[in-house]
Amino acid sequence: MKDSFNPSIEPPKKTVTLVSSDGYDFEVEEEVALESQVIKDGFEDKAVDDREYLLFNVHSDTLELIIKYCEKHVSSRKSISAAAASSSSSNGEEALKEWDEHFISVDTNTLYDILMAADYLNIKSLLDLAIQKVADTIHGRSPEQIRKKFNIENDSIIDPWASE
Amino acid sequence: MSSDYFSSCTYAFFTQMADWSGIPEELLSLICQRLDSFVEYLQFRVVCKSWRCVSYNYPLPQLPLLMLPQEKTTSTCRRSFLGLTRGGEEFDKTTVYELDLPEIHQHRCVGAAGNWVVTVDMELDMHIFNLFSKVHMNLPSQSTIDIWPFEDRTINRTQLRDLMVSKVVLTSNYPKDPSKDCIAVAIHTSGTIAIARPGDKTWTTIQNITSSFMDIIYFKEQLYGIGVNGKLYICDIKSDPPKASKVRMSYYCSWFLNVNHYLVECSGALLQVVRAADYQEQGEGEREEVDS
Repeated sequence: MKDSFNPSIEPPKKTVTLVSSDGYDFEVEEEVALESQVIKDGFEDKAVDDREYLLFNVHSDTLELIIKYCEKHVSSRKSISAAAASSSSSNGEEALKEWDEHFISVDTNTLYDILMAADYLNIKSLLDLAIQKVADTIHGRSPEQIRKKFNIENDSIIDPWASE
Repeated sequence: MSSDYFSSCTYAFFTQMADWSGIPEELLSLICQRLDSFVEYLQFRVVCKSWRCVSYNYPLPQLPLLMLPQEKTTSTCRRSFLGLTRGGEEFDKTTVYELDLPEIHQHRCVGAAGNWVVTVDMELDMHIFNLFSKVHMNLPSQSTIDIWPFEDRTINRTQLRDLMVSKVVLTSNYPKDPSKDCIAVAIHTSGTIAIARPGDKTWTTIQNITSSFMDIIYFKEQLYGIGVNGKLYICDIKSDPPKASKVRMSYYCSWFLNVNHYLVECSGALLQVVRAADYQEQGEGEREEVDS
């Protein structure tokens, strides 16, 4: 018998290369990179063999975290929709939420890097997560405590009337 | 060449610290929208100059916070404020906010306008104070409301502070700078109306009306007072000396005994609230429109 066509064999994954601001290459799967709206927008215009993106504003430490986040979200989405298709119960969304919460529990310097990178790469769900974390950090703190937490200098005595 | 480029980039990156005061305005306004309450928003705004510039329109009207009295024995400077949380399903949930306010420790609050409060301290000096920007201005001492020589030795300072001024209104709802925009109008327990501007040395009383006032309100650029007799007066607080004159009302409440009159504003109309303290039916109220 001839070898029958086996549909379960997946085609080789396409990858793109992301280059961090400090010059490190990160090879990631296409669909992971496409979590970034900025990469997605310019994707079709780029030649297939030139899928390299220089991310001048993202340091390798941050880029590693961002890729980890995108990989997790791509794989979770797949397993959630697979569970939905076979109508088996799944707590995938709960688990992902928990994972997100753990992921974003970082010091304020790292949070800043993630926030700026998520904004620059336009990854909406990550931006939402980081924004919420900042709001949660502000919650229940006095202005003085907020300054201390975020390492902000108090320059607000200049215009005392501005608080109408 | 490219390695040169990257090494300079790397250097720039490592010297860059997280600069939270410099984050883009779009991100700041996104953060603002996630804050729990108007109080948090106000606190957010005083963190630094760039954070102050972010405007976020809270759904209006913003319900005012109720400032709770400081406990008599407390040694801390914290003041509690009772407020409603923002919108949605949780709208009717009340929350108590605490602010650290050493500036008005043991002051009694006798009035408010926007973020400003009017207070009396234990020395009977009076102040206008902004709860968030902490700007402070002096009003004349309560003891300069010269009604009668107050020589009753049985009354202590706390009682004087708590009993002698029943209310102060400011002639601007959201004064940017009370030293320019504002006249303070106090109603003394004796029923006398007294007027002062921030920085004045003494209060000036309205003397051309012998009747006692029960409540005052600043409404549509005019100061109104209601007498114990239920009559409405309009007060010219800018003339020297200040004068009051009677206003004709479509409705006149003729009960005299055990009746409290209050003036309130509701949806652009001036209303009189009458509370009859009858022993059988305590707290029965009636409201009448007096001017609209």
